Amino acid sequence: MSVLKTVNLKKYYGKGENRVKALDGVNLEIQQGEFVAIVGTSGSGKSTLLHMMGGLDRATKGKVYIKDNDIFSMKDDELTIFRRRNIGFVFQNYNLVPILNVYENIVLPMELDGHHAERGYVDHIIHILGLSEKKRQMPNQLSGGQQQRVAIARALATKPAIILADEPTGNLDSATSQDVISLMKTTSREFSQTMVMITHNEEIAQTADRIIRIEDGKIVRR
Amino acid sequence: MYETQNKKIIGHLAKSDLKSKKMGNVFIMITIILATSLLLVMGLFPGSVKLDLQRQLADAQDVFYMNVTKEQIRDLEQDDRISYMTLTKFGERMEVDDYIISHVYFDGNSKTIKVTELTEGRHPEKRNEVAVPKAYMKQIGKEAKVGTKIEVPLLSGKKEVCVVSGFTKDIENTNVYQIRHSKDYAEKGSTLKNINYDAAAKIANAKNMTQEEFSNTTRDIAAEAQIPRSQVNENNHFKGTLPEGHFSPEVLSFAIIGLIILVAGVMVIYSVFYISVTGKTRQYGQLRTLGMTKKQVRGLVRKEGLLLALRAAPIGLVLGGIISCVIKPGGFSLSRTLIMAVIVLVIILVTVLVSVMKPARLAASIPPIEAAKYSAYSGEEGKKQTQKLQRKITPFTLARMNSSRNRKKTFVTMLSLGIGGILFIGAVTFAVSMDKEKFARQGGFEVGEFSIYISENAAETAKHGEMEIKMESPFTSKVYDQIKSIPGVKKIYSYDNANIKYDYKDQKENEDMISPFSRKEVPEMKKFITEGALDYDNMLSEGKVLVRNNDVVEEIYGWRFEIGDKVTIHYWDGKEKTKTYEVAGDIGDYKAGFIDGWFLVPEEELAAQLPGINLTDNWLVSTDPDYTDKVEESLNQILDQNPNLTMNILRLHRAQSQASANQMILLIVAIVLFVVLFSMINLVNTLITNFMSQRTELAMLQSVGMTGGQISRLVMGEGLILAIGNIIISLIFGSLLGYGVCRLFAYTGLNYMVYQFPLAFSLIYVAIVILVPCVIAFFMIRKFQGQSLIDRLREV
Repeated sequence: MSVLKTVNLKKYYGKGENRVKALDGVNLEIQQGEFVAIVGTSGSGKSTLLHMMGGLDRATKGKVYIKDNDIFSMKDDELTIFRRRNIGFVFQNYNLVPILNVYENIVLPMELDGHHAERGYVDHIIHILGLSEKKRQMPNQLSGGQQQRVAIARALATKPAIILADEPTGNLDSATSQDVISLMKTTSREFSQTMVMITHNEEIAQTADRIIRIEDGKIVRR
Repeated sequence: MYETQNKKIIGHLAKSDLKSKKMGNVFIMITIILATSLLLVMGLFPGSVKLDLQRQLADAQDVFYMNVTKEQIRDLEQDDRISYMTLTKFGERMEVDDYIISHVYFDGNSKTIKVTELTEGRHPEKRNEVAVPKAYMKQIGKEAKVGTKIEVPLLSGKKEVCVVSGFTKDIENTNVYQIRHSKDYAEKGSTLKNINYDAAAKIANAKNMTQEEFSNTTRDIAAEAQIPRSQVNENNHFKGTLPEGHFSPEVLSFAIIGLIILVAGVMVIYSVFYISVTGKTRQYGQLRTLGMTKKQVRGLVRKEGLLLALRAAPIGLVLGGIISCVIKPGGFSLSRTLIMAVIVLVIILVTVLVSVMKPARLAASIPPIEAAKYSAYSGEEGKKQTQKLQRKITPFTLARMNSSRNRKKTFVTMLSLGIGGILFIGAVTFAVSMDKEKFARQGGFEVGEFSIYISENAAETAKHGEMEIKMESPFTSKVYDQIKSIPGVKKIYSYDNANIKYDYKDQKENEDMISPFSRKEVPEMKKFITEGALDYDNMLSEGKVLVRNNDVVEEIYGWRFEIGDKVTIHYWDGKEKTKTYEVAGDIGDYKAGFIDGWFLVPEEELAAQLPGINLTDNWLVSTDPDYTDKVEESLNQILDQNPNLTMNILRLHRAQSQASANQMILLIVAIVLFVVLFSMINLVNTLITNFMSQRTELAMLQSVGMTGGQISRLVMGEGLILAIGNIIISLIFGSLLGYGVCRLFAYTGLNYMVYQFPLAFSLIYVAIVILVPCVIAFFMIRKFQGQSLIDRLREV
């Protein structure tokens, strides 16, 4: 079953001669439970693609369907709510809220949605990610790897349809990177999550179920 | 060489950095401009008022030597301490119907001491010529044309035919008209020939004297010309412009207000720089990673501050100079303005340097790698962990957590905003607490609207003055009953006084008054005693007298009534008799406005000395406000039948006093609006700066699912926390300030300040302070949502 589908996705910046085609007609489909790596050189358009898929930015042309919902047809607030219920993000720089502790950061999307977190489920995620001892700590007390694990936990906590990770190991050393990637694989399997990850690290990409290579805004090999 | 190169680079960096951050700098500049101009205006204002007055008084007399004889005039003319002198005569005033005329002589050619100018015609020269105000011609129903013949009434009841040679300027709100005569008439005319001249003099070099030196000089001159001290009438306005040589409450209150504004300015400048520099810490961190030393970072921050200050302060100085000139054009002086401008510039520069010192140290002290990561949101004072596993998470609780993240910054911001509010609430408290009605009722109308007294004309024409009238007092029980029966009259307050003469020290048979007091008044009176003691029975049995206002006595005569001294009082009740009393004490200004004399005795004593005489001097008629106008008509009718009585009306007095009250309030309001503007700019700056530094974090929250509405509530919540803190500080301390000022006024004896909480103004202030964050949040969020989420996220 396809969870995410893009149809002729285009994103252009600038006008006339200065026009840059960041994405130039991307068609792809991602299945439930897949662990996909998107690779490409700097400026190839991989980040733009991820942002489009997550509805963080709007396309110049084309469509993105998540669970058969055309996300670009939604209004801003509608999209925000859709995103917090269906998409989990993991950013390179973690994006944790500094005034909230680890636990609060993890449950924040649900709280914003007016729901209370399922305690058992959240504790299970926290346990798997090795954060049980850190629940009450503030983000600035954690190492980079720990902060990224919190971000992963936050992405998982809402049981989203898909998790989008933008260079999740970009700020981490290689040993920690391996830890984080294997945790991501473990959890995606454990919670049967679909995961799309951007990386420029071939070694990490090789651990994925599928590698999508992108160059000059186009997919070159699936 | 290396050092100079360094400095150049830092200067270049500072300049280009300022160019890149336009918005924040505009606010800093506006703040500095406002602070500079406000300080300059406040610094110049008291001096401008004095200078203006001095200039206005440049062609007025410094002192009057009253009632001087020909020999005394000659002595004065020969005294070289007097730089200029002109002679005038003030004849008796007399009432005609409902207005008063007074016969006067001024030397129309006097230039150094100016006399009322003519609007038309020329000064009277011949004996039968007069100059009058045009309003007088209207009053007597004659055409206002030079050459018109008019009949001028005299106290004797006769009339003199005069020719109008010119018109003097009309004076507003008065019912007193001066009939100005010629020199010839002053010497030989019937109403003026028996009156001595008053000499109006300017004292040489008086402007450079202290108040004390000035008084000593005027009194020495008088003493040498054998003019008694009581005939020396200094121009108190002029004297007030001279330095006092010691701190007066007036100077002190100006100093306090100036200091508060200075502190407010310093706080606000400190706060805008603090916000600005902490917002740029990351940038400074980058420079540190590129090899800038701590000292260089501090230098850069200082340089940026100074550059901004040097751009903004001159604008503020020009603005302040213009405002000072506009509010007191007569008090403008270029040299004074320039000196004050330099002082203000130094204060502002020092303030800016002090303001950037702390944040610059902060920016320089953070390790480079930390600083590069540093955003205002990395939880500077962050806790290590929380007590609770999960706190309540809503936009509002997030706002609260955000504000308490850097308590010190929040507190400094609240306080600097609060100072504007404190001044505002303090000043409007003053404005609303000033009871205009009480202000108008000062000096005679405290408890009534109509003050009935013995006509001056009647007293002037009677040989023994008012006492002769009192022997057959017009204040009869019949008139009392008539007045009492007018609908709307609530109460008639009656005040007794006897006209006497006294001997004490150099004064022989000096005309004065003595007033009775009753046993019932004693407890109240005891509060006023400043010297000696008050014992009713002892005074009665030992023949003692109380004196009033010994300080004023000393100012006029140069001596005080000493406790235990003897004073001889000359009574007259058809025939003269004297009694000598011992001075028991000084009772200050007890019953000011109702009794005029220096002396008070128990009522039984006065009744014994002047048996059977109705000593009523004044009836103060209190009325029902709805009927006041009708009562006035009826009282006029009653007084028409009693020519020896006349009255003063609060209604007429009110117009004059309210104009002066309004002027004072207007000035306060103008200064306060300036301060509030200052405070509002600071609030807007704080909100926008907070918002800008929070943009990335808000984008982050949005990326994990915070909706536009939730973000609005978060941003507004933070603004409201500042607003509420500001409101609490403003209301509490502003009220205390206002209350303090009222108490200070009451303490100095000005009873028209009655503390009132400025409810309406406070509500307006609260509304504005709450509205501003909401409006700012609205506009900022709109602007913010125009930018794509991903762009905002990238700024991390």
